[in-house]
Amino acid sequence: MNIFINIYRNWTVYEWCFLGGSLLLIFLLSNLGTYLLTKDWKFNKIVSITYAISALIYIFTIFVLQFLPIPISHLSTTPLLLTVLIVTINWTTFISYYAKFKNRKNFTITELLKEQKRDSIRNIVFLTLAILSTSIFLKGELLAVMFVTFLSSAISIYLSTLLTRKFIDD
Amino acid sequence: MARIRFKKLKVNWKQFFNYVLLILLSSGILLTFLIALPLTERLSDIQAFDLNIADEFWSKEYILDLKSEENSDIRKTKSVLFKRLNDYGVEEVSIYQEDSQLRVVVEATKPQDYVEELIRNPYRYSIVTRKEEIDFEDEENQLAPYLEENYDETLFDTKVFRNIYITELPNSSGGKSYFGIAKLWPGKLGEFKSFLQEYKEKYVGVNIDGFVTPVYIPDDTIFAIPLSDDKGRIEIMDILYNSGNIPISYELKEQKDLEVKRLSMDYIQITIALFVSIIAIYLYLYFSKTYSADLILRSLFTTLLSLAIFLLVLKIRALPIHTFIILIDAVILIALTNIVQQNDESRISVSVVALIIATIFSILGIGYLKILGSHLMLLSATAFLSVEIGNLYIDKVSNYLKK
Repeated sequence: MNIFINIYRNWTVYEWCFLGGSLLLIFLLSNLGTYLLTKDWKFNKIVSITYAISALIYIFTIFVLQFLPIPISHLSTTPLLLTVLIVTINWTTFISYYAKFKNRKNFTITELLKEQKRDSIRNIVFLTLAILSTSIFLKGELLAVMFVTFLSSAISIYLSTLLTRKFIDD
Repeated sequence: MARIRFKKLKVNWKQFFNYVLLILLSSGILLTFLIALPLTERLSDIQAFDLNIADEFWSKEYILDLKSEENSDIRKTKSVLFKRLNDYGVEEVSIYQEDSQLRVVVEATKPQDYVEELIRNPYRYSIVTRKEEIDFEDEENQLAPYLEENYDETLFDTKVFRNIYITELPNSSGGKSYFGIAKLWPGKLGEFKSFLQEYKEKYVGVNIDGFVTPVYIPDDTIFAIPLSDDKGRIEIMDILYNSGNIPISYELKEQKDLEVKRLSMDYIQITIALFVSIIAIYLYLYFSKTYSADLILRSLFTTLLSLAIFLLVLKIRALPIHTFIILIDAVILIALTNIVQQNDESRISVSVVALIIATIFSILGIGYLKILGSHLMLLSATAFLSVEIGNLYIDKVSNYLKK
């Protein structure tokens, strides 16, 4: 817990406000965009839970990292941007597909779910390869940054497909 | 004499312009790759295309002795100090409160002098007026115009100024210098105007942490504080004047150098490794049959092109960059280009979303998040452009080859 206590004690109001503000702004804008394109709150539930999952995974991996002989500095905040970016873009492709084809005659939810699963798995495979191939040149905190980014974004993307299946199927 | 008749030439202009476009695109793309590759700057003496690598980190710890033990004042001081360093683009800043002291730990590539200027002084400023009994022209006391005790305080301090707008204006010697134009909150405008009228064509002073800069008021419409001519220092002064007010005074008690533990990498190896990695990724995707061969070819080409365009922009604009950030940028760019390429229906929305996230982090981000945010703006535009240009080029080439 040391790292979180240190952050709580030593971070300035400026850091809390600006980092919290930027994440909150992205969260709200994603929800707004999702609602405007789908007009269905079920999609908002999915994207909100996905963000929550990625935040929890990020916190958990940082918690684990403090027990390893790796220095943790401000560089460890970069997975926040990377994860938010990857998760939001993956979600954007899904929502854009839905918005474009929902009014098509033979459009079905099964097709939507298949498309999302295929896209998500492709993105995860690609992300795995991209991070693996560049991680060969890294060590220490930077390697940890890549590892945290990979875990939090890949798991969140995969879980979002399961959540979509659960919420949209229902 | 018989007239020579030439057969009327039929030119297919559409095809002609297509050829011209194809030639232009080919040469543009080739040039982009050439400039992006490492060491190709040695091919020509006309322009240097080196990457502006900013990897010379230094680290230092500063102990500040605060003149107050009020918790709210200390919290505000911490925040303003952090904001100043963050606005300047200092990579790592940690500020620890230890009783009535602040320990500021900095790790940066920015010039040390300027970073120290942001930390050393609280930069509390106010407008002061000359005491009548002091002779400011006394040749035996040449320091008189600069000493705080020779001036009277006025109502106008940091609390009444909205901001200090820094701009270049003509100076008395006919050249141009930087000045800070004082902008006030609306409630104090009337009083300040009366003050300027009262001291028109007289000297007043700006007291900054106990040292006074004399300011001559030529007319009653503007209060312009003379600043430095050095552009680098002007950025620092802009931050010091406009990044919030430190409520308490403090002094630098101690400073010591710290060891830097940054991973140093050779950018030439990184660039080559990135190109090799991309090819390896696509070879894997091809043999695993995850995508169609056509899509893989397009995606590979656009990914390499996007990386080349990114490096080209960095080299031509000489933007300072850390080598390890190039790796993070490359991962983002590879993933982003691949997603933009493969999702035709969401090409624009993905690019716009990436741009929005980039803008948010480049404005509100802290430390590396701010740096990555500003890079992401370039990356999202690069990914979109390279996909559009790459697809256009592949279509044109395949049409040409089919003929």
